[in-house]
Amino acid sequence: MAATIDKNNIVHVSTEVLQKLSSIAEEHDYTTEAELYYENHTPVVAYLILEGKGKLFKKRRKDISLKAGDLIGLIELFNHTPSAYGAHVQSGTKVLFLDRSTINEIIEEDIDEDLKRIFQDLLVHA
Amino acid sequence: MLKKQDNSCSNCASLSKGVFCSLAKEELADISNHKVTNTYKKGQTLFVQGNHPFGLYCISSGNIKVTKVGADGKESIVRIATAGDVLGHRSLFTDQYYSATATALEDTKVCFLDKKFIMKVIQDKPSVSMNIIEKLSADMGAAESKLSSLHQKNVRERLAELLLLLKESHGEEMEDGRTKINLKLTREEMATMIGTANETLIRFISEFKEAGLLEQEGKTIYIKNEEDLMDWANLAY
Repeated sequence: MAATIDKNNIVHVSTEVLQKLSSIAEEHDYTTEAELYYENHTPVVAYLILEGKGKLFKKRRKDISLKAGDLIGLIELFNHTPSAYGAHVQSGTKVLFLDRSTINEIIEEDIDEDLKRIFQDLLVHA
Repeated sequence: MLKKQDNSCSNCASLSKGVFCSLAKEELADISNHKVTNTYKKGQTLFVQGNHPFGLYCISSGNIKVTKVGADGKESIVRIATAGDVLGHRSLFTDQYYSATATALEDTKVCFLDKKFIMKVIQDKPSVSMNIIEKLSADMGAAESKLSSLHQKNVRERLAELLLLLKESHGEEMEDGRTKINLKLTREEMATMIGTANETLIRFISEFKEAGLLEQEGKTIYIKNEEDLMDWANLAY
């Protein structure tokens, strides 16, 4: 399996999937630390960490570390549900943005068969 | 059990003022299915200057301040966006990073549409394109007026002009003839909007109060005499 999902809705993708996604979505280098989304908000896009570090955080809960290959916000975005955690990235982190339209294209069009199957499987949870 | 909020576009209180006002019910349903709706608390940011633009933000209720940080690190308010306004539309067409930061001034309900989706809507629905052009034109007009005010007017005139603008955008007529400004801005925020120091603004507010142009109840400003305020603003037309 090239992508697995854990109990915190973090999708862990393989290097191969990460490279494929890099070629079809836009990325951004965060030169300063930044909030990707707030606790109890629905993320506006899904975020894939390409390089660097981040965390999911929540009041009175232990932070959950994020590293390269972690995709966050996908399930909440497609479920229209708020995230139980806020997400934060450190300065120097490179992030790939996967918006709803891009993910719909992956699923509905013939961009890449592997990615199509992976996202179809992942969104069974949504 | 919490009742699920109705975030559909067709039931949005700001639909008539927004860019999707001319769309049919089924077209609005498409947008409702695609969009992401969040309520931002005071101080939470929708996007940050220098960051990558994702799409279009539509304000359903509340107020957002759009600020720019200069090379000296000082923040100035470029404009206040309110219900029915859109944000991020300029970056959609220029493909540039956000040139300003958008921060909620109070609990503000905002809907988001990603760039690919909104660009398709713009291509397919001329009414949406026209409404966005209208918003862009209004923004440009406001920016031109602000620029000329900063160059040609003194602080007293700029403050009078700001109060008239706030009356237009956030004013509520009261039974006693006054107009309540339904927007709580700090003195510092107001000062940055007219390009002056905090202390100078406070001095002029006192002068306006003494002249009977405005009143204050707590942090709320009431405009008492619009006619004199227009004279003080030295409006060109």
